[in-house]
Amino acid sequence: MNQQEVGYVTSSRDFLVFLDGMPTAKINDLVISESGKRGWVSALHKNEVEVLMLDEGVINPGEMFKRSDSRLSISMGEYLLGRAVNPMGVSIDGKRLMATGKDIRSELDRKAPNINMRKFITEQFVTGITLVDTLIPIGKGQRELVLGDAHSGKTAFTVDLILNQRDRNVVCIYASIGKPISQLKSLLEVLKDTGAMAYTVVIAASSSEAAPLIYLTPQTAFTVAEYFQKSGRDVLLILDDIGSHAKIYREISLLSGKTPGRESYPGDVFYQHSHLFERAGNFKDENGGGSITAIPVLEVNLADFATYLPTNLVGMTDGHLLFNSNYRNQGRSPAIDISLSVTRVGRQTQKRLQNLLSSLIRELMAKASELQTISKFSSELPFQTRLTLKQKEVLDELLNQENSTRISLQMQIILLSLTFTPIFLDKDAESIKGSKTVILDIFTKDPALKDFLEKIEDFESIEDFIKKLTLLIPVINKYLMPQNINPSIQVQQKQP
Amino acid sequence: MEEKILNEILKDTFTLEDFKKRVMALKLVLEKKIFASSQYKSGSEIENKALDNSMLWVQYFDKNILNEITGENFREIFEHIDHFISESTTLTIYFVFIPDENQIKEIGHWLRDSLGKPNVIFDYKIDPGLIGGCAIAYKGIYKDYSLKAKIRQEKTLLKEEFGKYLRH
Repeated sequence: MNQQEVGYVTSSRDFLVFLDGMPTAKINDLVISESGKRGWVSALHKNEVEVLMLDEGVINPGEMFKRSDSRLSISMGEYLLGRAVNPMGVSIDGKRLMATGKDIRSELDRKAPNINMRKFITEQFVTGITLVDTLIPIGKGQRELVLGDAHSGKTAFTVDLILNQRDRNVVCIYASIGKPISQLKSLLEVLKDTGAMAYTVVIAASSSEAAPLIYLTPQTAFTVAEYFQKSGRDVLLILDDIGSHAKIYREISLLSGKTPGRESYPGDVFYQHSHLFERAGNFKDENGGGSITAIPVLEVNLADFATYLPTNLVGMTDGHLLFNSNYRNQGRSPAIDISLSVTRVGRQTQKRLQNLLSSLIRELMAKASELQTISKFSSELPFQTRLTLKQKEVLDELLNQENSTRISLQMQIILLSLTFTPIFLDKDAESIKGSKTVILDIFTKDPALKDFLEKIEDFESIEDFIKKLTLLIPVINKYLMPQNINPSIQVQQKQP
Repeated sequence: MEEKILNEILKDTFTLEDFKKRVMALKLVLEKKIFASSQYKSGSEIENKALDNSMLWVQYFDKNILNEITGENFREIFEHIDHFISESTTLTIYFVFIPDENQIKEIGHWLRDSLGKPNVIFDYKIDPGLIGGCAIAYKGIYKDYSLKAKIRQEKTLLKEEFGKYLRH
């Protein structure tokens, strides 16, 4: 005699089904209908069990659902690297998933590790992007929100984060939440063409999937991230975009009859995200070592970004990068508004010299910002004012970085320190752009410059460093002579 | 009064489907009789087919009890009957064949005698996939006494036995 728990459909609304029966059902138990459609128990009411359906199709009243032995979980293993899967672990890249027998099954909804399993964030997460690494540094294990308006370059930035992790032993996980299939396809092509798929897992639920499946995407992404983190690796987890997740959760909650709160979001929308982000962090060896650096992405209307969802997410993350489409239209890349971006944890991870340089640059930017206003009212400016404004112009050009380029931390320090030397004071923006490319190259080739680059960490103060760098200007200028520079040539920079 | 009418209905009604149809038929007849209005339109073909048997059953309902139902107690009586349906936990039996009326009566009587509860009603569904035997679901627990479950249980033994007759 075979015994199972069953429930019968009393009502159904789209992807939400209410069952009568299943006396010992628990939240997140998997259930299967007579016709083979799967769902999971999302809530337990007094006389009914609420089930969210994973598979689409018509559910008839009175249909029987059986409770299965498994809970909402996913199979994981090393075979996930280089693959694209949906939140239930089913492959969506056209290839069959090869479970090797060494895979483990883990529940999606797990409690975050508590404080005694974590350690301080002390190591910098190197993005390879000068502006971020120097001015708004991120630490390994930090949660940094990326928010901005539409077409401000957020997704391109996150893709660059992945591309720049080549040869750094970082596992990248990209969670595509409710995006159109066309966008997902082009992302997969970019990752494949650049070889980034070798260390990346893509977890995606497109906009045409059932709402419950889209809702599960971030949970699956964190579960997979935890698998790799427990094997001692550093993980970069990108959630694009968390606003879609909130909207889907709102849709599910309104359908299930939950009382709507502010902006019609249910009251626990904060918890839905906070309990996920708590799973990121830097962990002790007893908990597997490794780290999970979470980068949630949120599209907002910058004219009014202090609304419910953005303020929630800013409150539960360790900083934010604000992208502005106006900056992008002006040609700035990445289009980050430095004055409105924050990092709460990253500075403690920066090397001393870069930290000092960052302070110097911020001082320059603040001074230049004041002087820019004054300069509009005066035609004859004092020398110091003109110098500061010129340095700001040089800095803006040096902070600009094309997509898919990676600059090492040492080269970032050198490039930005050149702002405080006379080398660029007589050059226009176009020349600076061309010079930058040449400089990145010569510091790996010229013996004197190479030697200087290797000894960068010996410098105690930024002033000494800038003095020594100034002495090398004649060497650099040799390569930057007018006949040696052709700004129209785009040189693809290979990084050490 | 409510209990008397309920017991009279349940005297020869064993399945949930029959119970609901007969209660509906009784309600329609009484509405016409007491309030001179009814939702039952004799011209409606589909309704006729569904309720004809039940209407026939109402004709054999105890007239003395029927006469005790008046405009004052009509609503309470049917609320009580609705409450009985909503509160009762139905036993569902899965058959591989469609049972006829006599078989339903036999099973109904057997259930009531075995459980010692004269008011038990059951629901039945047809599942040919069970191959033989039956399965029962009650209060959310599904117990499979079918041939399919037995075969699944003894799969290894059956494979071994069949294997003896296969030419290698």
